[in-house]
Amino acid sequence: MSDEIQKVKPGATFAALKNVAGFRELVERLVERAPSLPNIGVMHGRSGDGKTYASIYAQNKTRALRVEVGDSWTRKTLLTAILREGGLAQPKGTIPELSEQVVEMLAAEPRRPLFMDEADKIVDRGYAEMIREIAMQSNVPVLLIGEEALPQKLAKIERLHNRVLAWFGAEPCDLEDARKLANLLLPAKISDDLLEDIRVRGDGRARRIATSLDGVAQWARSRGLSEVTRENYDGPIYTGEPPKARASRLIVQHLKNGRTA
Amino acid sequence: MTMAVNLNNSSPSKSADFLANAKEAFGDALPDWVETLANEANRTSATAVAKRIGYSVAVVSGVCRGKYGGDLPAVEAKVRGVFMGALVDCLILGEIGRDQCLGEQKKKHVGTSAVRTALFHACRSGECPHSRIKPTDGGANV
Repeated sequence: MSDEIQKVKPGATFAALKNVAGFRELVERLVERAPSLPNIGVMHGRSGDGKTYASIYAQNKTRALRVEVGDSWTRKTLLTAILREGGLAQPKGTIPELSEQVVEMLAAEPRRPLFMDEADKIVDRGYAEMIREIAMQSNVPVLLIGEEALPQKLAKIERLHNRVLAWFGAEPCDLEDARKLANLLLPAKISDDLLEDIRVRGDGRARRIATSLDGVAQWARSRGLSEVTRENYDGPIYTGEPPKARASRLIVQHLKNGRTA
Repeated sequence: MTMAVNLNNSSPSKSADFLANAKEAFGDALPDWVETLANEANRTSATAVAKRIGYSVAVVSGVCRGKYGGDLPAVEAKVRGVFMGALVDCLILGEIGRDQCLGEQKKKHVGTSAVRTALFHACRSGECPHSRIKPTDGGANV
């Protein structure tokens, strides 16, 4: 167990989890691929496994263009978003014109990858072929990031599926990962057994573990404790389950704790 | 710093000796970043250097001659980021190059990703020492 407590900076910083390293490797492999090889990479994983954070980290390291596809997006929105990320303030033109501009912009820097987070939505809305077009013509590494079912969804579009060089499935956090998150998010010391509880009950999802750790941090702060163990911790552990309707039992418990219900 | 000897005088864009111009313009008070810029311009070409720092060739040439009337600190930051490995600790992205930092500040839009929105606010929050945007430019504390 590490004794060192890292200083937490304001805003987002990164814990070097295995998924972060794994995705970084995937990007590297695509950037360094032989020119004749296909240039699409896919990262898939459950919600909260840290895919987006892994991609933000890789974005910093590779200067990638990164867009998060929204549910309301159309072909045009996507193309416009890519162009704006690339530094064009007001992209104008028809969809084919925009697509041409995107290809031109991407091809100018062949080692600069393009990340598309929430890529399921592209497939769901049926413009995945446009991704293939952009990827083929620009020949830059294109990384699609999405939920568990993304590989199956892509498999239905054979021409796109064929052009995938590598797949990376995001893994649930192990204890080592959870420890790294704790070092990042929790100023207090936390024992391994409690951390393992948090990890297992959070289903190994980085987001849930982080949420739990934030709760532990608040709990420890309010009690002035610098060390939290399974024995002394009676605060919440985030499991992702929605809260149940309040029964009278809960209200009684609240009263015992000296709070009004 | 030794001056890179340029043996390839075939291309017309290399006719100017930027380092000589810079030494002439600044004398002994030649800032290190101008020297770096001039050296890079001699080594490759003003066009290539201009493209990398995101300015026009006229700016590169003007800075080397000490005759640039625009926002000199911005050019300096770009040069330090691109050619001198200057890093900043971004509130949102962690460690990034100074040139990338300036590039992110320029992007005013939100909506392409959650990170873009976070950057938009962080650059305008008044909390980032690297931001060249006045906090009153709107967006953050509205």
